[in-house]
Amino acid sequence: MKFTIFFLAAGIVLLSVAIAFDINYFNYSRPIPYSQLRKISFHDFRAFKRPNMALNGVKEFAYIKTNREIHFLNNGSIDITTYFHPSRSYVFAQNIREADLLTHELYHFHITEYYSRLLRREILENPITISHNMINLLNEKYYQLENEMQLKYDEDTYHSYIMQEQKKWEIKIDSLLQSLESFSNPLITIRSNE
Amino acid sequence: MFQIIFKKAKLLSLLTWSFFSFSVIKCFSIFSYSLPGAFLYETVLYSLLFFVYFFIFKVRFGGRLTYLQYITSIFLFVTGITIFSYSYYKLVMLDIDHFNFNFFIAILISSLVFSSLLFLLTLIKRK
Repeated sequence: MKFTIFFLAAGIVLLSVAIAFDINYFNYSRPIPYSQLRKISFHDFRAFKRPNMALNGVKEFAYIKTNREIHFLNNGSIDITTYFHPSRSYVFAQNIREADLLTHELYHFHITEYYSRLLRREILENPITISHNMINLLNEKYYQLENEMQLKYDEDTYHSYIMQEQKKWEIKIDSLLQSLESFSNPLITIRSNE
Repeated sequence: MFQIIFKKAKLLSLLTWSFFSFSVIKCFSIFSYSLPGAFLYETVLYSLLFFVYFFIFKVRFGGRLTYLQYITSIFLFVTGITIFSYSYYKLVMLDIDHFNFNFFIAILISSLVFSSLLFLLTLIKRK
C-alpha cells in the first residue's frame, strides 16, 4: 500500500508541474473570443516558457495559442467561436512594446478566424443535409488546412522578422477575412422547413 | 500462469507504475521539447521505466516474472500509459493539438525489443 500511495503522490506532483507548462493555472485567464481582439496585449500572454526553448537560437520570441469551439445549441443553432488562450500563449517579456511582434501573433488569430468563417459558410450553404458528425469532420479538415497556413505564414515572414513578407501576409489575410465578412457572426441560426 | 499478474494487488501495482512513468515522461517532455529526436528519447525512457518494474515486482511480490508474464505486463503497461495520455489530451489539451496514436505503437515495439534484451541479460547474469 505504501508503494501505491508513494508513487501515486509522486506522479500527481510531477503531473502538476507538467500541466503548468501546458496551461499556466497559476496565472489563469479565460479564453478571449475573436470579437474582443482589440483588447489583447502582451499582458495577456501568460504561459510559462519551457527551459531552453528558443526560436532558431533566439530567446526573444512569442507564441499564440488559438482554436475554435463548436457548440450545438438546443434550438438547433450552432455557435462557432474562435478563441485566443492567454494561459497557453507565451511572450518573453510581458511589458515589451513591440507592436510588430504583437501584430504578427494576432494575425495567427486572424488565420484561425478565417477558417472558422469557412466552416460557418459551409454549414450555412448546406443547413439541412449537414450532420453534427459531418461538422466535426469538417472542423478537423479545416484545422489541417489552418495548420499548413500558419506554418507557411511563419516560414515566409520568419516569425515577423521579414517585414516586407509580413505586410504581404497582412494584406492577404485581411482580404480573405473581408471576403467572408458575411460569415463573421459566431452564431449560425438554422431554420427548419416546417 | 497468468493469474499471477492478473491479481488485484499486482494489477494495481502495474497501474500505479504506469501512471508514475507517464508523469515522469510528461515532466521530461518539458525539457526535451526543443531537442531533436525527443520522440526517441521518450520511447527509450518508457522502455527503461518498464524494465525497472521487473525489479519492483521481484521486491514487492517475491517472485520473478516469466518471459510470457513479462511480455503481457508490457502490453498492460503500454495500455495504461495510452489511457493516461489520451485522458490528459482530452482534459488538458485543446482540440487543435495533435494526439499521436503511432507514438504508443512505437513505445510498445520499443519496449518489446529493448526490454526483452534487458530481460535476456538478467537471465544470462543469473546463469
